[in-house]
Amino acid sequence: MKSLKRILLILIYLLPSAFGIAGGAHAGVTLLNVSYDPTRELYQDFNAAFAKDWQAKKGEAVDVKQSHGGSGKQARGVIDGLEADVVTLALAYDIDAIAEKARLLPPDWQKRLPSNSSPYTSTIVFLVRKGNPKGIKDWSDLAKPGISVITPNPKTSGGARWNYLAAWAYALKQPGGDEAKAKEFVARLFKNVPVLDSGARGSTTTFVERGIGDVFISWENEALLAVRELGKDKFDIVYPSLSILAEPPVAVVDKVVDKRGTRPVAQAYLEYLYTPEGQDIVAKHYYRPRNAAAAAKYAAQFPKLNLITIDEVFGGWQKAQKAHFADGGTFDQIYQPGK
Amino acid sequence: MKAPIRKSWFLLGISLIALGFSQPAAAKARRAKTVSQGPTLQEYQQRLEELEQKQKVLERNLELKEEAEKEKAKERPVVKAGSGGISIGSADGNNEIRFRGLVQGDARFYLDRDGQGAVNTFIARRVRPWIEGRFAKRWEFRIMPDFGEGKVVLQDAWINTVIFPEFKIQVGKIKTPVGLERLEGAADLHFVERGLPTQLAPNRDLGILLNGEVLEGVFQYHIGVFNGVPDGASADFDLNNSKDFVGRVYAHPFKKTSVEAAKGFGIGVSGTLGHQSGNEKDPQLPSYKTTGQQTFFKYLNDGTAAGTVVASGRRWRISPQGYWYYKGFGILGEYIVSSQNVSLGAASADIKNQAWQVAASYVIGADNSFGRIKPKKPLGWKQGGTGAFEFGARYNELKVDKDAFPTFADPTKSARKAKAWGVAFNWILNENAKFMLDFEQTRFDGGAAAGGNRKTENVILNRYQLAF
Repeated sequence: MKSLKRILLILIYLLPSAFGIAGGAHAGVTLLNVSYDPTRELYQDFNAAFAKDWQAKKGEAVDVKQSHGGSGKQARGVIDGLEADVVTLALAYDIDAIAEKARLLPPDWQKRLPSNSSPYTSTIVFLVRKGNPKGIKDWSDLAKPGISVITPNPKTSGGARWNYLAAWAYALKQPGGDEAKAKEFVARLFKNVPVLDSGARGSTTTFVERGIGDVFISWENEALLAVRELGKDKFDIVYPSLSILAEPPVAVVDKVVDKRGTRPVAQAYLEYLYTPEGQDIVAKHYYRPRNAAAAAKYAAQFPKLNLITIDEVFGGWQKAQKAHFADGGTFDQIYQPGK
Repeated sequence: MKAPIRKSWFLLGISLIALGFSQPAAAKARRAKTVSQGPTLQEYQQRLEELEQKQKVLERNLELKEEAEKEKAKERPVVKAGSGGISIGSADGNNEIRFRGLVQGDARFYLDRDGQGAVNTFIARRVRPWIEGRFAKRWEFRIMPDFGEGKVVLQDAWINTVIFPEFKIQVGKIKTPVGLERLEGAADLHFVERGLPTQLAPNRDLGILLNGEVLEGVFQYHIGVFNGVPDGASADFDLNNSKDFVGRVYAHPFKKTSVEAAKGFGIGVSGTLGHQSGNEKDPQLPSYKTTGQQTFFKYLNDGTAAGTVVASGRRWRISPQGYWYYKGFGILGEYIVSSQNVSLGAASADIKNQAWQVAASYVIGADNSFGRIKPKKPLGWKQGGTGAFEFGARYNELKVDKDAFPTFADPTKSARKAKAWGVAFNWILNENAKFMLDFEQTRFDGGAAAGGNRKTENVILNRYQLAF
């Protein structure tokens, strides 16, 4: 009788863990990639290629779901419980926030993959109406009276933060440039912004589909995509004298993949971004590849630019975020909705 | 006079000539001024474009504002009030608190009162305000006190962790999953009081219960460890280190088939196994009541160690059970045997008590159910609905082990057997309100002096309840 009781007790205490293991297996090979706004088309193609590759190598089907939105907003979603197996966001700060606030991945996540976990880069350019009727050539033109500028909200959009900092860096680099002058310059620029979308894709809609604004400060890939999709007779791309090296990072969300039992496939998914096949897809979607061969192959579509980095001008994302985009930061000081 | 007249005509002529020359020049000047000061066509176009831009900006900002409002709306708490209570929940449905309640006002009228303590009475049978809900999608809870019958009892206090629908872990004070009618909600009963088999089934107990539903309810299972309570009893703590193991499996084998008539058929078995002991202060033994809530059996108990029967060993129960509901018809049957080793001084015995029942009912105006019956046309003064009407009948018995007498129970005060039948009429006004009227007759074997039988109990039970 006592033995029977012991066995029953042990079974009861062990059952939860047994079911926990079964639950992990039960989740199967579905992944959720939480990404930022303009990567929709990139990951549609990439997911299909990866699924084919994974099936061929492991004999296992994988279905990758996508979620897109402003990078900051997406990061908040993951912090609030959106179960992303991987995050592919616009800037490292947003993944840092997930590591710091939700502790879903370690603080040194950026060291786990090559090139600071950034398999592709991009930069910021100007998309203007065909023929560039307002004669926009550089950042200084964007702050002139009568110019209508489209850019998303830096509070919610990673791309917008790159835009903002590129403008700030431009002002700093001008003769006699300092923080005060940069602030005044960016303030003037944002006075010319009539609509603040929450993400880059929304701003594309505002500029391209709604026909609002003279210039759209855009991801290079988004600008190239707009020209390709809507025809070269409608828009021109203007490359400013100085821009910023945007390094969108990727990371496996450890706690989610361990809970769901998807770590191997999630890890392979991100590593596939660095393969020649992955890099080719990246370049086809107008992201600048890291791989030298792919970069050479697509060199024609990526003009050489004078690019600054966040680290060299702003001392890294943590500092840039605190100074400019935190509550009460320079953006809050210079921009007031409706004014 | 002629000279001034001529002079006048001359001056008029000069003036007219001057005027004739001067008018086109002024007009030309005015035209030139207008042309030089007014907007050009190009300027008009530019203004039009600016206006268009402003209009587009306004429209887009309005569009973004609406999108932001929609996003905010997704995050706003959802407040609901309905037949299932009042709830406040997060927009994503992962968090919710429901405020619920049950009030049952009963009246018991004993016909041919037998002089054994039965008193006609109105009584607040159950008064249960409770809260239940879930947090973070997977953590469900319920806290349910009961102020009925002039007492305050904590009926339910549990946390249910939903790992999967197939696997949940429930911890706390829980209704022990043994008796079938016991598991039916107090607000959903077809008769005012549960039948005699429920007297042998444990009520609420503290423990841990693994439970789940497989294939969307085709199979249900429960397996748990509890402190262990006597038949029909609830408890908030244990007297000893021994625990009762509880198991139940129940199936609706036709639920996923196309056989409509069989979908509401369920069958299962439950049981408990443990080793319990009591003392003269708390013997850990039950007494049994009729459906009229009169005690007809109890073990000897004079409060002394020498004169009080106590639980002193193995206790087990087993209960095959089933029901079938189809449209207005419903039938429920269960059998239960409860065995407990008892002792009085040096005397000891395994006492096996048994009970069973068959209860059937037919509902007009709603589908019959093990759960809440929902009238197709709730009572409404304007709509003309009359609610639903339920007619029921049942037969139930409880037989006490003959070995209980006379060593452990007094045959002149405790009956060996209770045989009861009852009929019920329920007017289900809507999902929340119900009026119930039962007649129950219970006959006894034994329980009176000189080998006689306890007097038959005839009782009319009324209930008016509100549940939400």
